[in-house]
Amino acid sequence: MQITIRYEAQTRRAVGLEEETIELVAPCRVSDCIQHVATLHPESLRPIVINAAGEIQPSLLIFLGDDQVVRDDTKELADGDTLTIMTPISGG
Amino acid sequence: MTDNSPSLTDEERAVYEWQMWVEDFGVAGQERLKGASVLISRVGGLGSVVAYELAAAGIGKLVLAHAGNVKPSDLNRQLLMTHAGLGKSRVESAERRLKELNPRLEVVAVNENVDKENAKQLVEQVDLVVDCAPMFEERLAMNHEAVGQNKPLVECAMYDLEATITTVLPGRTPCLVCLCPEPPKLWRREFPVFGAVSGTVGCIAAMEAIKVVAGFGSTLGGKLLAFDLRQMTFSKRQILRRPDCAVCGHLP
Repeated sequence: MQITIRYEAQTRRAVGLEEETIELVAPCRVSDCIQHVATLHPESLRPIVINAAGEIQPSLLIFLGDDQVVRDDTKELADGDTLTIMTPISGG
Repeated sequence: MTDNSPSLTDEERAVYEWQMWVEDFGVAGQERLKGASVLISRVGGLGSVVAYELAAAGIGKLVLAHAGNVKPSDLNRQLLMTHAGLGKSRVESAERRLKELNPRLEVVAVNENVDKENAKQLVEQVDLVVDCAPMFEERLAMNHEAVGQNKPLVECAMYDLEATITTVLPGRTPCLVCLCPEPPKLWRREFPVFGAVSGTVGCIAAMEAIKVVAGFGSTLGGKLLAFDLRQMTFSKRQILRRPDCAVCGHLP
């Protein structure tokens, strides 16, 4: 199945893309998808989204469509879904 | 936010005439603004514009917290600062500029950034907080105190040409710790941004504050407005309260 990954804020700058479409084998949960995406960009993205323990960073913001999902959400992705990942940003 | 709002003078009726034509705002909304107070955590790129718009709209009192003096790198976005003010106090410059626009405005200028020590007494002085600070430690301290005192908090943020805004209504919507349970390790105080981006966010944040204070329209409570001015895309996303949130998880 095809999943569109949208990168925002620091993840966009790290990857150098606004979005990309990837192929995944169903069934695939949100956390599986993010772990997979981190392997696609091991130098630039992985340190932002995966912590030293190999888990998704607790502060990572994840949206399935326009709805937030938590990193351990067990929901399975469906063909055509868009998953947005971003780090929290701040003022100044 | 309060029904004990002061009445308007003839001068105020003249100044705010056009916005009082907004039907669900009107004279009552203007009186609520006059009776309200707002804390703005830092008057930089975001906070300068929030403060200016609230001063223009007729808010009664602003508490401005921002340490330090004006630097050259402030001047691309901190619109209450001026070239002539380089090397001088940011909050003093902000107070002077705001009172040039609205001499009726009460300003409390605090030459400190928000921290765990001063957050309590700063929040106690106001009805609502707008968080425009760059460091998550400041933001989390402000969130902790605003939620603890049951004060609404408008959270605004930016990066490059992107921005996010949400409004925290304690006990009813996610707070900052729900969104960000720990400071992101890779965030730095200095980051890419245009003044037109911070100005856009600041105007939206000011409008949120006005709506919450005056009690009209729909707020961004429980929503994260995310926009990208590079592509001119805007989305309003649903965000989640964390039942295990260390700050607001105990609230009903």
